[in-house]
Amino acid sequence: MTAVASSVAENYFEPKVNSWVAPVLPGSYLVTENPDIAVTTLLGSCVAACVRDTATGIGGLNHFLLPDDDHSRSGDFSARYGVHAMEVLINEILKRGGNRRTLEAKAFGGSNVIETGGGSGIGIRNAEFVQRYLQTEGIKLTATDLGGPRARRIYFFPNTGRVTVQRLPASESRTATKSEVELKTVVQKACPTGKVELF
Amino acid sequence: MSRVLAVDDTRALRNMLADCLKRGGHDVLLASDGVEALEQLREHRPDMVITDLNMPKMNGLEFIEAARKEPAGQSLPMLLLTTETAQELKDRAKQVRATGWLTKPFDPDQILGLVDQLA
Repeated sequence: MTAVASSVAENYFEPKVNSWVAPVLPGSYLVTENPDIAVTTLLGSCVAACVRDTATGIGGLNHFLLPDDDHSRSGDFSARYGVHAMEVLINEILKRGGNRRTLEAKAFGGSNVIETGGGSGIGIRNAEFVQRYLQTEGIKLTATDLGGPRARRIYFFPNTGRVTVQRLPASESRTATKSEVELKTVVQKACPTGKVELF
Repeated sequence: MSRVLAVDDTRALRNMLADCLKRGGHDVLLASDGVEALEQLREHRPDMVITDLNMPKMNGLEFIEAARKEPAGQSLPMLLLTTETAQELKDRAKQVRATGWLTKPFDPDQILGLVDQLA
């Protein structure tokens, strides 16, 4: 598992939203221009930015978390994983014909499902990051559902911008988002960073 | 201490790169696309360039190609820092005489190490 990869899970029909849906796993992202597909993901402490170009209906979402602060020689740069997750999503939308000036976003997740040892919760940090990022980049944030104790299943329709949020019972939230804990371990341990190639 | 020009259309990334380089004791110049970067290059003569690839107006490859024709850019170390991994783009980068290719997310220590090594 890398920090951010294009999603490879298979589409399925979801009666709850009466639509074919494309699932996005933790650490992945997916962009579509298909007006008949919803993009879905299950969020605990991770966050998802649902970004679309309002002019073309091209859009998608990512599913990511920031690792705990990493103190390298040059300070704390854990936010770079979030910046990276946002950049790959936005770049893919632009490559498929989206326009940066007509992008809008909705943000979800960041609940306090994953336990952390003191300090501000990982969910809060993720939720704060995504809002700050969108503001910094001048992308309009039109709706949010962030924080709280429960995991969320979201269905995003990039063509219209509609999002359906289904909250999981608190008792199921932790088991349902087990893969997020795995992602946290991977990001924390391996701290996946880019390769260098000198020509 | 080196003077490093960091080029990226994502403000959050530009800010983080600037922060990283300043903590490493370097002087930082910033640009948000290739056109601005060329102006910075001509005016402030950096010791090294770290540039994104996908940017509006003039992308990173076009910028490097143009910069190599400038007196200030002929032998300047210029690294691409990008989310892209396609071999075809790397080949293009070699053609325009980029110094190297880094894939995001960036590692601050690695960036500072490269500045020490190349600038």
